[in-house]
Amino acid sequence: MKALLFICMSAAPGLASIISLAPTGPSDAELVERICNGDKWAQEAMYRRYVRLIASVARRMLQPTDVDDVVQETFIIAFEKVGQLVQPSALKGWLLQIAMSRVHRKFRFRRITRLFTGDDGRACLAEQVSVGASPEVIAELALFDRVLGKLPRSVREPWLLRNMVGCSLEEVAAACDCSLATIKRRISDAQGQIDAMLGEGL
Amino acid sequence: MSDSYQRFRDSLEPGYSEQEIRENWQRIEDRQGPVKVRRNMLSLAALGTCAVAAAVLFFGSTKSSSTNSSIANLTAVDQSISMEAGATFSANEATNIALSDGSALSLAPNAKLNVIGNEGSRFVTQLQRGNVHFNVKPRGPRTWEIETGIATVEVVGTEFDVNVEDEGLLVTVSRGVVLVRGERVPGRVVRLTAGMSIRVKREAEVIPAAASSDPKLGSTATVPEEVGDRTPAEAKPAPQTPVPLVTSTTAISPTVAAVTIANTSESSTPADPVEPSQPPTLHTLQTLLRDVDALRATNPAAAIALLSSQIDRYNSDASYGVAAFTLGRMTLDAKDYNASAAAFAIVISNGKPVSLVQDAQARRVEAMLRGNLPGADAALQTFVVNHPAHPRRARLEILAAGVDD
Repeated sequence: MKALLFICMSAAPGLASIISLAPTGPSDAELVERICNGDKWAQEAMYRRYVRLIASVARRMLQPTDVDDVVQETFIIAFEKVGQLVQPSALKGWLLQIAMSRVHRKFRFRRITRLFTGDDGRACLAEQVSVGASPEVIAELALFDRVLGKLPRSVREPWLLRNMVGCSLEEVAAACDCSLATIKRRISDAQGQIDAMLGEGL
Repeated sequence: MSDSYQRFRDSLEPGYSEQEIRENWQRIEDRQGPVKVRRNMLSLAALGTCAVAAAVLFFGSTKSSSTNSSIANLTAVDQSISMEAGATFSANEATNIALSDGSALSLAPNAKLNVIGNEGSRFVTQLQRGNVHFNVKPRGPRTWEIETGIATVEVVGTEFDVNVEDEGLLVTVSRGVVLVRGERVPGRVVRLTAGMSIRVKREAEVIPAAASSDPKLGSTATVPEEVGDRTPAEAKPAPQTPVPLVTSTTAISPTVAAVTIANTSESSTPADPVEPSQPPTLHTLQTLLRDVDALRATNPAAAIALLSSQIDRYNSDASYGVAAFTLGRMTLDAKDYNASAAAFAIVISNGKPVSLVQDAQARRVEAMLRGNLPGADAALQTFVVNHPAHPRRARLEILAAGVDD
């Protein structure tokens, strides 16, 4: 579908305004191209396309007070550096990678402040449930919170991205700047550790 | 894999609301201009912060490594009992030894246990004969190993019996997980969880022991579906009937033991192998709960039947209490008050998840009151005394007064 739209737009630029109303909108590659050419509309379009994903990543990783910072910094950096993006179609993974680098930055900062506050800045999944969530789900998320707190960040983050954000393996790999094989292994490691800890009745 | 967690994702708040999206876009536009200048200023501050952080982390890591290297050796609470390497316990009568980390050993009469290593992070014993009950405090600083000459029992946690008999070794797990390693153990290593047991014959034979009939251990140890490398979403659906770990006690040769330890057929033979058992894990129960959730909206009776028939398979799973709570809620809605009270009683006795226990107590009282079950009034009184400010208290009292529908 995207390919078809792209062909239509190349063949008849006059259709662009109509096609942009289509549910899929312009492709990532086209958005990148337009942002590079200084199109403000394309910036906002990119922001609106991915802001929920980036906010979701930040929310599942960090405390609510840090989420807005991560979202804003991610897009500001993306707009600044979008010209360096070698493969414009990989925009989503690239944004995730920037978001994760911002998340890490927050964690680094929290690592220092936790000496005084005792707070590691990690998100609490059980506190993020929407209204109407069943008590069982809340209880299970609280259980996950306890287990995840014991996992190293290198395996915890891919697991969260995959299972609590819903990213594909390829997206997780891009976000963590690792190979697909490494990500599979890390998620599997995390799952194994989670299962073991839950099995011990944590 | 992701599908198993879909219901959690659905229960979590989405990333942003429309208003937040607008507000953040406004801030991004505001920040886009001066960000470079601000960043240069911040980078200087960050440099200073990093220096402080590096110093703090250095001292922190030095402190933690020195802590790790100084784990005290395990001692007995009774100072007259030595737990140092070389100590031997040979009791004529049942003996209990409480240890400094909160763990405990209970030696049956005639048991003989040697301590062969007590090095802070490792506690190694040799059980020469008899039965010893080990209650190892979970997540302690040291690993426990029990050598028996027939196999080695390695503690992942937390409570189990090791019995060295003339015929061989019997390991029975009450709580947590243990690993049994040895040449005669199927696959050289077996992971046992609560309710499971294994018998390893002294003379090159392995007898997979029947699941214990001890009520403390549960009547059946179950074998969840084999998942292996597959993700939970790709795993096979759970079998429809509870499967005891082993029902046969017929001796089998070591060459086939690896594939027959989880054999379920009474007339099982080496030619009828099944996969080795895997311990119950969250994702296998997750698969069940996901199926139950899917059924619940359209066919509650089928959802109840599915969960009721499967729930006991997961009695050692961390989410067992959650599943029982779900069953309790569904049966309460279906006005099956006896089943509901029983399900909530499981949550209460299980004690996990802690956040559901109070709620389960309230709902159990509700089920008892609605079903006019014996002891309902007494249960209400107890609940009110224990939880006077519980939000469900008023509702329960109205129910007890017979005003509610």
